[in-house]
Amino acid sequence: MKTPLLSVRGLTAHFHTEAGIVKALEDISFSIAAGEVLGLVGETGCGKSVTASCIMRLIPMPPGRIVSGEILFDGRNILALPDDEMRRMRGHDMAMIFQDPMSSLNPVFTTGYQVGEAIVTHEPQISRKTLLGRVLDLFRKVNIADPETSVNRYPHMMSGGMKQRVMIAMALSCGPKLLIADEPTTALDVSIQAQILTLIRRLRREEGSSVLLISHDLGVIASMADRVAVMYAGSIAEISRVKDLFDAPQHPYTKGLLGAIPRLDRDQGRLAVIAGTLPNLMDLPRGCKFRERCAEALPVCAEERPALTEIRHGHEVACHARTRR
Amino acid sequence: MASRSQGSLVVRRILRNPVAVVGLVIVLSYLFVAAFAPRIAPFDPNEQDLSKSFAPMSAEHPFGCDEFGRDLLSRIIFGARTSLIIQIFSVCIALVVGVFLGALGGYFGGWLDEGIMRMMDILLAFPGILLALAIVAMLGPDLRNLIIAIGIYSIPQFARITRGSVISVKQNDYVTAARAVGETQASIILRYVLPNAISPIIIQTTLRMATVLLTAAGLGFLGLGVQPPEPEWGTMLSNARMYLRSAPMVAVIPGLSIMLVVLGFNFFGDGSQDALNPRLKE
Amino acid sequence: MGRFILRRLAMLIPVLVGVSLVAFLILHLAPGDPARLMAGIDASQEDVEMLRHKFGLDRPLPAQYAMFVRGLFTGELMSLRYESPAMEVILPRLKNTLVLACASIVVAVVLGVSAGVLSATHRRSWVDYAATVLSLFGISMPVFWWGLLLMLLFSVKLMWLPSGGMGTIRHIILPALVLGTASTGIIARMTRSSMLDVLRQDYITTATAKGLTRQLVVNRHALRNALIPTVTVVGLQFGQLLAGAVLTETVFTWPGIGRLLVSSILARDLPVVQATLVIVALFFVFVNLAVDILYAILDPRIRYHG
Ligand SMILES: Nc1ncnc2c1ncn2[C@@H]1O[C@H](COP(=O)(O)OP(=O)(O)O)[C@@H](O)[C@H]1O
Ligand SMILES: [Mg+2]
Repeated sequence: MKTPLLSVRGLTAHFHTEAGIVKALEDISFSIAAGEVLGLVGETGCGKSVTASCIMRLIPMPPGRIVSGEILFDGRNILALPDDEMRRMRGHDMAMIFQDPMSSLNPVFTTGYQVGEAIVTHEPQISRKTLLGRVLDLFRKVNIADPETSVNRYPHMMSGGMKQRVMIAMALSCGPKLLIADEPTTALDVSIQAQILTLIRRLRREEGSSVLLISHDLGVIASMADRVAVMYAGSIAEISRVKDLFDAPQHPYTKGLLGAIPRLDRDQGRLAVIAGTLPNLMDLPRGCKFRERCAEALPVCAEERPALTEIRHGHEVACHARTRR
Repeated sequence: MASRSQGSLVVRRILRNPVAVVGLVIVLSYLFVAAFAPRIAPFDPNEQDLSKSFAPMSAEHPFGCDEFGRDLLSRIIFGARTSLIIQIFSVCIALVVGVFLGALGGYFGGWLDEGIMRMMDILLAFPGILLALAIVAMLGPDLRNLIIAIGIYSIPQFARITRGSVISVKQNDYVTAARAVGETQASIILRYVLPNAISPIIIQTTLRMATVLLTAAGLGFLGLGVQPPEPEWGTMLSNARMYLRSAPMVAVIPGLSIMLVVLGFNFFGDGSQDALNPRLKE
Repeated sequence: MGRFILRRLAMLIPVLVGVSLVAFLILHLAPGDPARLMAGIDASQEDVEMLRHKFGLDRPLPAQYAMFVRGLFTGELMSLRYESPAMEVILPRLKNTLVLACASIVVAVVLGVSAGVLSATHRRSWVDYAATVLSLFGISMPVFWWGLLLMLLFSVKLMWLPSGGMGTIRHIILPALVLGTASTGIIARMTRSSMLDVLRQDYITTATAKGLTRQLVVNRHALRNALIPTVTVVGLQFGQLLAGAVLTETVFTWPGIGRLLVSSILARDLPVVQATLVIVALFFVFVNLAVDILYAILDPRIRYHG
């Protein structure tokens, strides 16, 4: 098998806050092949955004700290790169789309300027004319109406959907190998969400980049991703191809997410409600983090953290009830 | 109960902030000195002894003596008392009038608010020491008029701050509820709205104590403040200016006292602001 | 933009009327007879009556007010000391004060903004603590004392700089520094807190995620936004400088309106006192208007919605 584009190995990240140490990520491992879309799902606060920020090395330090692990991008451990080399990869080799387009654009610069800036940063010798052409092309590519006028508009003059298109144009500007989309539609109206997802799907077909698609919406993942990783309280519970996950979920948490009985009165893709609450990331239990909410818990679950184990080809799960048979 | 633990959290935060603690220590020492001036001061601050004119620092006169041979330390100690009187009374005037006007405007809104705020704009159009200077110049310089002048010029700050908090507090559910069960406007303002607007007012009071002291001393320096022989730091500094070259310490020490006390209030106010504003902390 | 400015101008009218009214009424605040106050205790009754008539103090208050305002413009409001229109006495000195205030504000903005930015970008480091403590010292410094200290050091001890007066660039160094000290502290505190606020915003993460250097993120994306609230403070500080000039000019014998005001008060030259109050307030109000406009230019959100 060829080396994956991105390979995260044993990533552990903490935040040192006034109240204590938040163990946001614990021994996270997954990889993304070239051209592949990996979905990352989990409840709010489980560490999806922190994972994305670690890959871009955007974690604020302090309070954040990457305790251990490595992130191999094209075979190089980016956690060990000097700051300036890492900076040159951002926006060029890997780019990110954020959750809230309303606050992600700088209010005092025009949208065209902000997209152009992403290009100039990585191609400083580019001429003004070429630059404008590139920006206009990008605006057309992401279906922004009237690109010539829009490049001169300030963010506050645009709708949320349009701003997210600008963010996508910015992310695509240097043709990154990896695109990270952190809940790109969560902050948008339902009608706009579908348009943005269609756009991302089309662009990834055209551009052929790998995508890390973060969402708490299983419906979005099902329609977009090749493989999916399920996160719970800072750990990965299960990784598999999308079809396998929906057909035969292994981890009790995944099963809970998918909901045992399909209900008509609930949006099918939404996360089902599971009894109990997330453990406190500042005071994690010794054994499995999901044990208190788990119907299939074994005695060993109180003692030992389950490790992610491949139970079938391409299907990994971290659960004692599945691996200790 | 919730508000009490909130309060103790704020106190703990303040006590953890070194700047605020230094400020608190300075302010408390100042209050102590001002309160017990007659017991602490080694001499009568107005007792002249021309034979000791500009006497240098010694064990008997730790800060030396001024041009009339008065003990500088005693005058500084009694000066603290004068400053504190000016601060307390003028800030009280400003607090009462300003909070009243601000609460009135903020709570009722409309033309009343508009009128009050325009009035405050007019007062604020005279920057800094200017308004106080003009008022005291006309009324005549003495302690009472100084207090009135400084009190008036501090009114707009309190009015604005109170108005702002009142407007944000009055939209809360408990205020609506109190109104629904028919409590009178006055009792709603006094019982619900003001107590919840209190923390910015406290901070403003602390910071204002600093400004007020600087202004009073400045007026004293211009000869328009407390009149001699009454010991007041600004006036003392002003008189000592004439002997700056021969006896600089007589001018330096009163100024140092002003700066220290102002610094104390500013340190404390600034530190508490940090502690009360959780947005600034992670 | 034009409509925006017009509306702000219209809002100024009541304030301007109020300012002139306050300056006018201040004369009547004094206990006793204003004519006697102006003429002095030892003036003859005839002189007092002449003054009373000359300043219209024998007329009803509204007529007096009208006369006062007209006098400001026509030059009929005469200085008692200089025997020339109050405005003519004030304007050349106003120029001197503005020179001093502008020098101070430049010092304050340059030092204050740099200190504030450094504080925010090096939060909780010794740089931040040092800048915070120094800023608070600056804010707490009694202008007149600080002036005397610097004068003692640089003029009396080292003899590097003149201790007062006006003329060469060397004359302005000490007064500008002293006058700008408090403003420097305030601008530094303000810049720090708005900068910290801005650095937390999502668009800063976006800028970093594009691959911009830290310098560009701070100096271009963050500073531009952080300066918006700072601009307001700078406007307010300019007013404070005009007022602070009263003390600084007294210390350094700088021939500006601050000293004029104090000497006019002591000489009971009340027309000059009143006119000076109006002028300074007018100036301050218009500086704030200019700041509002600048604010709108810096923040596109206001330009289009305000
Ligand atoms: N800057 C930070 N300081 C402290 N804790 C943080 C910080 N950023 C994230 N966390 C914590 O890390 C955990 C994971 O957050 P996040 O990755 O944003 O969740 P989500 O899965 O919703 O994206 C949360 O518990 C959050 O409180
Ligand atoms: Mg998130």
